[in-house]
Amino acid sequence: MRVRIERRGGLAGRPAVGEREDHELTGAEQAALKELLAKPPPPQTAAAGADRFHYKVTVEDDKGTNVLDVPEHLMPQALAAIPKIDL
Amino acid sequence: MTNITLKCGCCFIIPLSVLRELAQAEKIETADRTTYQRGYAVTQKLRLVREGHRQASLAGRQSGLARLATAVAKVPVEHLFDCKHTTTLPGTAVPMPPHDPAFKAVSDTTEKVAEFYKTVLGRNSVDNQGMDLVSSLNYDRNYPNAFWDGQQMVYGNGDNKIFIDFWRSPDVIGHELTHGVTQHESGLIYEGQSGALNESISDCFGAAFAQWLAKKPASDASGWLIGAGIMGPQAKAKGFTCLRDMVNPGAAHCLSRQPASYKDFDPTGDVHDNSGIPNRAFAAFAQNLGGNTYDMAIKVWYDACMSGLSSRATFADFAKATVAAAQKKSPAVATAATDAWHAVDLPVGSPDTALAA
Repeated sequence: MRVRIERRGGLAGRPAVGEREDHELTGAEQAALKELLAKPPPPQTAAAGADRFHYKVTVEDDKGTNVLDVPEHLMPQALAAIPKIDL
Repeated sequence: MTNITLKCGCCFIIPLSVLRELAQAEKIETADRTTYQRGYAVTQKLRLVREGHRQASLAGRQSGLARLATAVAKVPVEHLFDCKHTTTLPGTAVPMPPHDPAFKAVSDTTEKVAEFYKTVLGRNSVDNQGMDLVSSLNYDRNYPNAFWDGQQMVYGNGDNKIFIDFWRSPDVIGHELTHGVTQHESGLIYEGQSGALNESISDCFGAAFAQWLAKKPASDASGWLIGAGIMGPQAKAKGFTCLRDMVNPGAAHCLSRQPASYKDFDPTGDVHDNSGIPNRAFAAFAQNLGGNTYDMAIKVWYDACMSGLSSRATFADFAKATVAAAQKKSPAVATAATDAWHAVDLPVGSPDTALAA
């Protein structure tokens, strides 16, 4: 399994990306991902206000590709820390 | 399914205890239960904000005077909170006036934004009715962002590599507060062209505020940089001097480069990408006029924002509104506005045509 997390938005507006193979995920990250996949956020939800982050979580495994759009307020903190800005 | 609908997190029609029960009720459909869960969370948060305000007022040495001033003259009162590196909002109330340099800086600059709104725009705070101004600092750990959450400002500390404290740029504080102004006026929807306009308006007022604060003329290029004060050492080492440059949105020194022409509008882009187009138009307008941005240009943009702009307004709608507002100042101002939109390849016709539209 491979997970790719893209972060968009925020005041800066500069995208950030992080990718992990399943064996590279920490226990906390694996648990957070499992919970997120089990209970995906409702579609078309966004955090209130402006300049909030929004995440796109793409999980690829033998069964195919699963893509989730996750607003900041519903993103597990363990996974939110994965994307980094590449200067 | 129930017929109760939650549209606004600001209303307390449904008691908190009822919301909690609905949020946990298994017999209610998932979508509705999610709505109640959100409503419960927002309502509880607002209750915490109120309690925080009460605590801050009790702790503040001038709390009695502040309350009296609010009641009589509707002067916006500031409230500061410390998230202590958690994501719980608003956090712990900070007694006013603050002694910590960071909280004092945010307090002073926020107060100046309110003064800018009042003296330059004739506006009484975010909602034009003296709304209190709430700021939370130290949100999360190494949080690389600042945001307006619909009720208050929230500032992260950055990672000290790419970003430092997000409150360190006065234009950022003006930017976030102006999201509140837009929310209370046109309510520009945060997607597509209306979302990019929402972002641009915050940059325009943030930049105009910072120029006013530093007494910089429109010709000073440094006054058009957004987020120059929050660049961290790694970003600076790579040559990035700001998030955005309103005069030159595609410049290499911008951490977040943007399109500078309507020809390059990206329909799939983030609202922070396409905002570069109206940003550049505003900077061009101010520089076409000369003098100070805060003497004329920002007043025209503000009039356009207050002209009954649709929440779904397009760039063309806003351009017409600005030219119409400029026409009310003078023909020369209208021509400067028209030329500015032409400069970003968004023709709005002659000033008279735009006024008629």
